[in-house]
Amino acid sequence: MDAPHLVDGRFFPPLSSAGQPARLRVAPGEGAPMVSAALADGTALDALAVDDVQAGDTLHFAGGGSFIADRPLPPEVTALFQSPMRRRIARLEAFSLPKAVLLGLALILCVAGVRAALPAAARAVALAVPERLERTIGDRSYATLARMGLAASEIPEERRQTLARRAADLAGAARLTRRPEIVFHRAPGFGANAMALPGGPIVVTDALVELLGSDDAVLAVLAHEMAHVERRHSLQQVLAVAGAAAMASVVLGVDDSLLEELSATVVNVWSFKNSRDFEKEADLVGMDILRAGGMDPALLADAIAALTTQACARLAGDARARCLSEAGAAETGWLSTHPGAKDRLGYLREALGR
Amino acid sequence: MGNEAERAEPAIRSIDFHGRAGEYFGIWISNLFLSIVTLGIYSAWAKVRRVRYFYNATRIQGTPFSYHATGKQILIGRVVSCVVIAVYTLITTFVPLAVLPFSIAFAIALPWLINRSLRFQARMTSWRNVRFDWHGTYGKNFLFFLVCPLVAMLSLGLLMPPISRATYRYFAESHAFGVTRFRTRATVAAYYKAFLAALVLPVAAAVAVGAAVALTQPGFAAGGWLGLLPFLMVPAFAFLFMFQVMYRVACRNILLRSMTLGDAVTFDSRLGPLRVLWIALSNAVAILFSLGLLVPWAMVRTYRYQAENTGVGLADDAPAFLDAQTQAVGAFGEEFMDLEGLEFGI
Ligand SMILES: [Zn+2]
Repeated sequence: MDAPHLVDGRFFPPLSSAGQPARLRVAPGEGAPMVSAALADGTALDALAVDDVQAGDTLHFAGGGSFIADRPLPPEVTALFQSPMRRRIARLEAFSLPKAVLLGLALILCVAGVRAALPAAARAVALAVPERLERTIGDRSYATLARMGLAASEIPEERRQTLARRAADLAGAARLTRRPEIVFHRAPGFGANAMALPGGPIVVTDALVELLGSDDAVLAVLAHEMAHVERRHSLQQVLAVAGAAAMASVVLGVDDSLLEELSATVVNVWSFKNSRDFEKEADLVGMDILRAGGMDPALLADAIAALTTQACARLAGDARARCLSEAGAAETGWLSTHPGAKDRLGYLREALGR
Repeated sequence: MGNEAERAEPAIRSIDFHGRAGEYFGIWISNLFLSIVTLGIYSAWAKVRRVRYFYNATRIQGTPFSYHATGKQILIGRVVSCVVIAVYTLITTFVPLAVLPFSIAFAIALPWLINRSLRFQARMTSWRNVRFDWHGTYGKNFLFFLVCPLVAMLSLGLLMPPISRATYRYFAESHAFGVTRFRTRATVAAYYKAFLAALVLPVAAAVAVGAAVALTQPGFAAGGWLGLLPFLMVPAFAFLFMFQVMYRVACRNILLRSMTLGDAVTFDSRLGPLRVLWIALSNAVAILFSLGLLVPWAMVRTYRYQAENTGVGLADDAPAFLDAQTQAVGAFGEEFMDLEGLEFGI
């Protein structure tokens, strides 16, 4: 066993700035080092628990006291109080030019890699996020939406129950691991809309049900939304944004609000591209769900076409043609949060052809 | 300041900062690397490393500052704010109109958030085994951080000096070292002087640019300038930025020079407004041209300039005063979360 280290300095009792000369004895042991102190007034303190060592000369004890050494502590003493992980990170942090160049290159690769692999990485992390946290986000969002103007649905209860039951049957037939609850609300501000909140519930507005008319068409949209929940799209979206924002905050420190604005814009563009991929996936998985439930997958394409036609009905000529391909981007409702009908109907028909 | 005659002027010594750009670069790039590899999770620990590096390298009377927040605490705070931001992002994508009620709710919550954030920041900082503290209130935060800036703007800046005085005073006097509050006694006149001084250069620059444009482009004066309004926005923002930087520096100087802790500690601040402007601009250029690699250098350089030009004076009875400092029991910040994105400083 190594000999104990003796360090001279000042000892400060908890909550006080009145220090007195003291000699600290640090004995390396099996686990945590044994620390004791002999104060100038004759007091002896045993088994001091060290919280952390800062500035190379200051030891903070659990419970609030501290010890400031007269001279910087030898590195081997400081190292005694570092976890193996912290020691490894400290080695990484020690500056040398070759290491800086190497880390810099690794960083550029990482940024490029993350940029390319962000969706996949977000998916991997999403799998690690506890379902409870996902549900918390979903529940809070639902509560907030409810406060903002979700009224009781005016769709006959019988029909709502039929729709919910058929959606549950679809989820069962497609062997989905997540079976979100379907809730109906009258919500004038939200337009004809269906929203898949993370981990559940799917909110359907009365306007959507009325506009689509047939239950089959509503179920097609629900299949798309269930695909969002099943693949945890909202959560991945949030993770991608949070990850990118966290990176930006580390890169830029905290002081530069202008650069922060800039990074927020980048994050938005990023997540927008992401969301198009998610929508495509939800459309394709949604069709699989319909197929598994013995329904016609073309129903989804029909529902999108019906919603688009309805949204553009008021326009005429060129404006109408443009609206039909862009799906009335300014409108509040399901279409406004989804890609243009031209793209979507294109790949949907392609998938149907196969 | 009438007691200068009867008391010996305490010797003012500048704050010691021995951080080095190369050393910090290693920490910075490791933080960055680990944060990216862990998809942002490490960034909470990265923050601790960053703040600790600057605090630990800062010494008064040979004693360093310590930072006590842990990565776990900050991570919890970040998860909480992530949930809030997630809810906001989701709902505003579904319902774009929801931005308005959210903004109102945010304005209502802001003073509370500021309180939590400043208290956490203060309580996680210690010097000589005593932690700092923050005693602000919701009402006063609302007044000073939300209402006052609005009033200053509506008065076209005319009421800015008294408002600055009150705000800076509130900020400083709500902070405490242990249980002793900081005190300030700057006059409104000092702030008006700073306000006018900060105006001189931007106004002169604006007049010079205006004159140059009018002379070389006679068409402007004849009314053609309306079409060029967008181009005038750029210099206008530049002048505003210049004014803002110089005025803030002057306010910091006034505040710190008039600040005391107990009867034993005085402070000094001698930042040069032009110098700060130069540092900010040259930092921006250096960061831009190094693709961000000079961020650590810029941070250390800014911090060093501030430390070198900030002084602390200890009167003869200061050792006794400092020894007598205690901290209220329960001021440990363990139960407080860090609320990210809200950092206030002077
Ligand atoms: Zn969708």
